[in-house]
Amino acid sequence: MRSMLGLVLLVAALPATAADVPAAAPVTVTVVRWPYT
Amino acid sequence: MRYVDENFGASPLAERFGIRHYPAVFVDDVLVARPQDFYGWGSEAPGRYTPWKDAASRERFRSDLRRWVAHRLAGEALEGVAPSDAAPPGPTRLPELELTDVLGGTVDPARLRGRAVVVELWATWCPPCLDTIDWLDRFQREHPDDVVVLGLAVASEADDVRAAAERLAYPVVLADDALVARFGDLLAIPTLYLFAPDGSTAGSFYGAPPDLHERLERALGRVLGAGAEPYAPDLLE
Repeated sequence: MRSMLGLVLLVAALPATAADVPAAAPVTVTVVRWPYT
Repeated sequence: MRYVDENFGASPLAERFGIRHYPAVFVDDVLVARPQDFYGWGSEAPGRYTPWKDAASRERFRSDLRRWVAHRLAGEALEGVAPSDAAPPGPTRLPELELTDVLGGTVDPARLRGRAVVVELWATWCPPCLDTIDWLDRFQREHPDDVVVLGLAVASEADDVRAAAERLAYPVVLADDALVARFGDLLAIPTLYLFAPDGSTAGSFYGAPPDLHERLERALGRVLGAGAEPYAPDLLE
């Protein structure tokens, strides 16, 4: 369960993952996540 | 760059790609990381990003995602070009190839003539590519004489490519930009091209949709003559 919580935290951290990509770059990153944590 | 959260159970993208667990990550409409890449979900097989608690796993994911985004942005330049003005994205014929694979073997051009040839452009950091590699490996072992599979690894570390190639029944070449360019614009990873025995292009497959293997198998069947209408005079023998 802790691992899965870690995955949720990953989702929250995604915007920093590609911080060197311009905010206006025409690309969408979609994360499908468990909705209840 | 836009980030979108979709809830498992209510995600059109997950539905489209047949995702049955979570999480999954898409860059535009390309599935770049699957649930099993993060977590076993009952399987003992290691995922590309397991164990997630390790910093190295998380850094690998971040690195992969950066590459996917950069790749998609490079491809964006082609969008907006009217089809009539755009060069065909893929080759019309199998290029003449004289190559050395990543294990030091020679890819004999003569072996490519008169056979169906599948060329896959893939990357070690692309989880969906790894499924396709395994599928192609099985296909090559089942059809050793009438199909030649050739892997072209792009933007990948040589050691990682070598490790993958050692278990495969077909050659894998470290592809530089010049080699990739001989197959036209690389719009997606993986990209697969199927060439008929006469060298003409018989199919182009971009990305990794859920039915990729079925579509490729059907196309190979057509190229190899399986499922073709019988030659009527033969039925009279």
